[in-house]
Amino acid sequence: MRLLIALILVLGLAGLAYLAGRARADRMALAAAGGGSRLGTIHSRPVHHGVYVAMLALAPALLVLLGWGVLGDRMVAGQVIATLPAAEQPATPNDRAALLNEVRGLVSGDLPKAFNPLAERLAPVYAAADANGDLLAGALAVALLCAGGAWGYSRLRPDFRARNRVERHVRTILLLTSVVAILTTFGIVLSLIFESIRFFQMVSPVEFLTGLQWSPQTALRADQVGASGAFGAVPLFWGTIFIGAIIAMAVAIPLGLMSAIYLTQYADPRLRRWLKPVLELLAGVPTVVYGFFAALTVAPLVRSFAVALGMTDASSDSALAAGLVMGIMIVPFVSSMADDALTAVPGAMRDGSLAMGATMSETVKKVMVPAALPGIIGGVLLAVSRAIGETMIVVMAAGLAANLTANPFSSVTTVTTQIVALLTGDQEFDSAKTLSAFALGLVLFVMTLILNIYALAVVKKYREAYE
Amino acid sequence: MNQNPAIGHNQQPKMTARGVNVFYGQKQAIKDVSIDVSSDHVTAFIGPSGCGKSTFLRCLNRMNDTVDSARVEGRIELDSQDIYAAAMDVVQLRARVGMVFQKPNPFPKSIYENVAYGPRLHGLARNKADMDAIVESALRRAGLWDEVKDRLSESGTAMSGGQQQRLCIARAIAVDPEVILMDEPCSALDPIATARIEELIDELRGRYAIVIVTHNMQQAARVSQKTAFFHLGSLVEYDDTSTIFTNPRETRTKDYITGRYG
Ligand SMILES: Nc1ncnc2c1ncn2[C@@H]1O[C@H](COP(=O)(O)OP(=O)(O)OP(=O)(O)O)[C@@H](O)[C@H]1O
Ligand SMILES: [Mg+2]
Repeated sequence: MRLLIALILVLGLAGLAYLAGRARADRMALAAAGGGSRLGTIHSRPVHHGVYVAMLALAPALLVLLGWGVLGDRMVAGQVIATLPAAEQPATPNDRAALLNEVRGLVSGDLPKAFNPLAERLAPVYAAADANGDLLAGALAVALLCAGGAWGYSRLRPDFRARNRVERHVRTILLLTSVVAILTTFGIVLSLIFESIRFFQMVSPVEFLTGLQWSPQTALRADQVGASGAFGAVPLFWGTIFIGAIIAMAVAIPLGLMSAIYLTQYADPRLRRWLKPVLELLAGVPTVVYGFFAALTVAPLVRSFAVALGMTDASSDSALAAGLVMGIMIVPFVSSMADDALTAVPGAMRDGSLAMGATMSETVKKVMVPAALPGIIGGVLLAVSRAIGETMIVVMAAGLAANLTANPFSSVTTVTTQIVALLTGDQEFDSAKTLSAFALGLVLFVMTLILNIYALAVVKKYREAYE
Repeated sequence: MNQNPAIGHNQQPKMTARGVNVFYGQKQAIKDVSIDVSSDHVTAFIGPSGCGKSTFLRCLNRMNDTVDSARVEGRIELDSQDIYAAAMDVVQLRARVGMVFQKPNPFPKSIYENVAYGPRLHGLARNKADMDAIVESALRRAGLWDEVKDRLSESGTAMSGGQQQRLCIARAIAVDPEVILMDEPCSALDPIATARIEELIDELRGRYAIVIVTHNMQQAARVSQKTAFFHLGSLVEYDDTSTIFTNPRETRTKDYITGRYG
């Protein structure tokens, strides 16, 4: 709250800095022009001078507030704990965190009363330190703002290139924002890697990547049955590929490709104009809805079909149900990539074939699809990488049994399903079971990354061929 | 307009058009064109840009069918058969009336497969040896054989523009058509490649009825024996090439040929 007020104050002051810079530039322009034309009398327009001053004022102040917002809590906590005599210092990091939580609860009023008497004692200290810190940060921000603004203001001259300066700063800001996005991704990957390394200290990577047995139940007590879990992830990789890359693609490739062929080569332009968006709308259906559909409609159908085929023990969770629905989900994806690829084939190619006396379907089969093939393959690869990362449908319809089987009617499980299963429910955070989720996530990430890079390379090469 | 489109013929013309109108939506692109095309010689279509040469050419193999807005009226016959009749099979018609486009458009396949494309479609070869013979003879007639005989498996799109255009001609003649339509076949080529194509047209003359659209007066004069001058969708004058270029009946033709008109 106090921080918010400081932020508003800083923004307001920056606004004033803008007005001041602008006014000064206006005066300079008038003075330089001596009543004549204003054009060319000062290098940059008054707006740029204003923005320049505001930028110089705002940047350091915002940095201070941001830094305090991120690190402030930790600094205050350290300060507060340090006031305790050595005997009363919390013994473990866990105790420390629990104590601080209580203190914060008391300060914010969420907690009417603390269990730990120490917390009661520390609460007022904490509140005071926090207020102090906020005040300090606010004051520092305003001071820097004034200093930056004043410096910027003092630099304004008729020939000062404010416009170019502003341009340069805008570039920096844009760069920073994209760096934030990239760094976040990078951080996620790093955390995946670190947790995976911890996992691989408990389970050897060779066992993880080649073992055929997956049962991650580790015992809580030493004497429990099934004390040692098995972390052979091959059944999961197989399940993922079986559902995402085999069954789903067996549905999505023909449906997507043929609908793209119909839309690009046969459909009346008027029909195409509304059919294509409708198809693409399918991509916007939340995957959990597909999950419902898979679990409640398709899975029972598949099961009764299996029973009719004589498999009396058919499971109600099946690779086929999940794969079929996932295939449907991926259709718009494949179709729109194939559509782009087919549209990019020069019309002269089509005319050339038709003029040879080929029918439309011969032309599509012998000329259009081969010419568009790299683009289509790229699209399919992207679709595969989407399918293997898909979670909701398989969680709801494929089951949890890690079977290594090619029978589409049996229940199999995938990497994503297992990650969900591993991380939901009560678990110690540093058990091998929990950590294996990160290792699985890492493998999944690497797989989709490779697929994406390869697919984009294929698509790019193909684009170049026609441009 | 010439009252007797069949002048100079003593034999049955290969293709005849009578009272042809073409509309793109509401817009009329061809107005009441009647013309005869004979197998004996090369016919050139000339005229200012946008006058409907391509449109009319595309009526002769029904390529206008692929344009949604296009509508063709009138009667066009190939060997006295109405090509727009319901009984006419478009696929067969296009096998009999081949086409070469302004921009070379080889398929992204090997040179061999490009030439074999039509024969395969129409089942002209019984076996591999047959097909080899067809491909070789088409490439020979297109004057391309010596240049490509050692690299038949290379991609057709990796050749020079002039070679590509000759490949397209080879592709068109591989199915032994009766008529070959060429829409500005040299406009994307340099003078040397153009000369090769013109030679080729000269060699093909007599074997096929050839219609060529061109913007190049010298080219029309060099390769054709008959010339048709189109203007604003109408056929203004159709006569022996020598007559058109030396002694045209219409002043519009004369103005165009002497460069006084666009
Ligand atoms: N697909 C089409 N849709 C609508 N109008 C068209 C279409 N194709 C051609 N036209 C119109 O028909 C007229 C004749 O065009 P056409 O292409 O036959 O001319 P052209 O004589 O071949 O010209 P150029 O010498 O420039 O190739 C032009 O006015 C053109 O705008
Ligand atoms: Mg044209």
